[in-house]
Amino acid sequence: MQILKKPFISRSTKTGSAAIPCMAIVILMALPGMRAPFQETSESKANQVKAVFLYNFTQFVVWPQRIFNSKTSPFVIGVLGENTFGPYLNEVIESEGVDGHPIVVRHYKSITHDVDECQILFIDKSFPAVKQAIESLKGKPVLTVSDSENFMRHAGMLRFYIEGGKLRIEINQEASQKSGLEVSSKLLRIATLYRE
Amino acid sequence: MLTSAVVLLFTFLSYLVYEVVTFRQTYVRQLYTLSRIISANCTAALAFDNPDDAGEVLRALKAEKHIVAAALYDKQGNLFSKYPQDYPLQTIPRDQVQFEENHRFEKSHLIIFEPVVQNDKILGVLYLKSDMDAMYDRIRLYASIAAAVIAVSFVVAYFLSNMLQRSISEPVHALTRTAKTVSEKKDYSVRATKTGNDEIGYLTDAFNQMLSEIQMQNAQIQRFNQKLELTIEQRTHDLEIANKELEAFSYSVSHDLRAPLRSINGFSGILMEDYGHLLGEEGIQTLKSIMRNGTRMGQLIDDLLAFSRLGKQHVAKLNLNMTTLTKTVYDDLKEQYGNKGEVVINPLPEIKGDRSMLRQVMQNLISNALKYSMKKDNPLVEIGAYRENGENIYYVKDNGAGFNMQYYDKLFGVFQRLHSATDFEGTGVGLALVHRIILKHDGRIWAEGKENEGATFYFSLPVT
Amino acid sequence: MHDSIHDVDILLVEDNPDDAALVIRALKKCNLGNKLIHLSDGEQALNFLFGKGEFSEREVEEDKPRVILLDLKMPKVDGLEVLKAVREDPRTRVIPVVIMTSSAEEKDIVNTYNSGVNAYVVKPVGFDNFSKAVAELGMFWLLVNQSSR
Repeated sequence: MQILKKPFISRSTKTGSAAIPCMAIVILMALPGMRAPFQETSESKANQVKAVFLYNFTQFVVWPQRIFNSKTSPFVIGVLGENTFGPYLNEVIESEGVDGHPIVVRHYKSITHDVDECQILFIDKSFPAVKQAIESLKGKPVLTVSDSENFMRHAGMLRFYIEGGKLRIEINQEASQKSGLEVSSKLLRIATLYRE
Repeated sequence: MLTSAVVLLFTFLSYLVYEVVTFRQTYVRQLYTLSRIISANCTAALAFDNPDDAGEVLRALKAEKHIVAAALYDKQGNLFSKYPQDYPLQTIPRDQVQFEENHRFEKSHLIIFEPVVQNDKILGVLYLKSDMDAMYDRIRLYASIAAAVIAVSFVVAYFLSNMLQRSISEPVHALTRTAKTVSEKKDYSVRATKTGNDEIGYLTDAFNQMLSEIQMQNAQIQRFNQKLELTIEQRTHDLEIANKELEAFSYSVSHDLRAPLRSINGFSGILMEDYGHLLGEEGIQTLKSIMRNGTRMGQLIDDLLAFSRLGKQHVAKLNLNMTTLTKTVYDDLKEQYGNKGEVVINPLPEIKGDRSMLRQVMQNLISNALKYSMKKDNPLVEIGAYRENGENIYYVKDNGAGFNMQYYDKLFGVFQRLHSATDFEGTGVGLALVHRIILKHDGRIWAEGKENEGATFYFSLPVT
Repeated sequence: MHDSIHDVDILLVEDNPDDAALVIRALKKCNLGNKLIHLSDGEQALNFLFGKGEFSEREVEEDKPRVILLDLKMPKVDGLEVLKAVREDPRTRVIPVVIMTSSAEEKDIVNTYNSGVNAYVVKPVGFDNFSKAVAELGMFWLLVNQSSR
């Protein structure tokens, strides 16, 4: 577990004119395992947060034990479609694990047969066949996450959306339950529940 | 009363300290429990950057009226959410944020830091600040209970001591009153009232017994006194009778014994005058012996009468010039003893006394001194006085025959003589008479002597 | 001893005959006892002085003794009573009375002087002294003292 060194923060807040950029940095700092990028856009900022959230889901969702072949089997976070995270996701999961299983990131351009080896699959909103992807994972203990607007309608489990400038989560509890995933009530508290 | 109050107070104080300590421990524990629940509920909010939700969780603390403030800090120590919303931020300084379970007391507040952990990952920290009013409420309640208990104890103790006082102090007071009555009125017939069979009852009994004893002894003493008075009266009466008899006796001695003696002497004298020439030398010597003894007997009777008369004689005290008195006495005696020897009369202090009696004293002492020193080659008689212990002490000293101190106790006795009549004539009454006169003047008489070396006679007279 | 009851110089009242004899002898030795009468008790003395009883033929006022020598202790009427009687009666009041006695009792001296005695003489025990004292007494009262006869 890493904790960012304070001197970095305190030094950057020293000059009064730099107050606003600093605030931005401070918000990013709230996210674990993040390093301050050199250039930032609101887009990339959102993606950074998404990467962190993806990792955080590992803490609030329980997967069935049988999915791992061995103790050392990796915990796979898959990204289907365009990789909008850039380097952020890898930075977030670096040297992290879930119950002793190391986390790895896999990128998929299409729906391949090994997509179900993922424990979390992020489907980028630019990916055309969201529905097919979800259906291919039906009954499998894979947490599907997307920022696509129609995602929930296709029985997707978690959806990112922006509200009031903040990244929010919508959850389809029925879908996650059907897949044998246990979503923590704490996550349910802060998420918006999707109803058909 | 005071003792029990102090004990009570100390008991309550120790309980209070114990109460405060345990209460603080309990309160810390309770607050930890609360903070753990809150922090557990805040994990998702921190993980998914949802301050609103965190705020909602913290607002639930509203139900806990002792929670003054709460705040949630993220992993970097940035304030994530706080309660109440308007609570001044500066009271929760960022550099005091700790990521360990920790608590401290600060200005009557309890502050707790509770890390927010999800699956062993620290996501941030919860800050809780609670006032200690609960404890103070409790202490106040406790103090008021203590005050009430003490007050009630005092009331109970007061009534108890009143009761005890009635049973203990009252008999003691009664005893004291009796003792006072006894000592003030000297009335030993009063008795203390016994109130019980306890120690005080025994004391009362003992006291009463003592009073009875005193009363009895007083009565006895009074009886003795009366008896004594009667005895004294009787003795006085007897003495008066004896005195009268003695007077009558001395009167008859003076009159009736002197008359025949006078006849013996008288007719012996006539015999000598008218028929002396017929008697021859031996007859004349025999007649002279009769006459000498008759004269001596007359002297004896006169001395004895003077001595016995002194008993009833009144001492008429006047200021006496002792020097003049002594010189007069000596002048009279001078002729009798001739001018042989030296007589020194030192100045003598004045004294109050009976002139004729003290004259008699001086006469007897000086004539004695002259008489006993005349046979010496250089007779010396010295008369003087000195002052000692408020008394004038007069002395008559001679270098004559003196006396043996072995027979000192016979010196002042009537008809007691230390020398034979052939050596020194005398009746043996002189010193007894002197002794008696000095005693009548409240003085003392004593003497020092050595055989053949002389004698000194001292007498003291009080200076008034 | 003077047998006549008239023309008496000295009246001696003395119950003790031996004492009386001594007094009389002492007075006679100096020629003062020629006109002396001796009576042996107070009653006789009073009779003599006031012309009663055996002395009834006496002229009391004409024939007074020049001095009375009076013993104190006597049977019947003692010396003090005689003295008082003498001093109470105007006929005898002026006669000098000398008490001659054996005792020097203060009480007696005081009483007799209070009753108007002229002298109080204690008879000495010694013969010489006695003779001398009586002689002086007689001389004084008979020769020196001029009473108002």
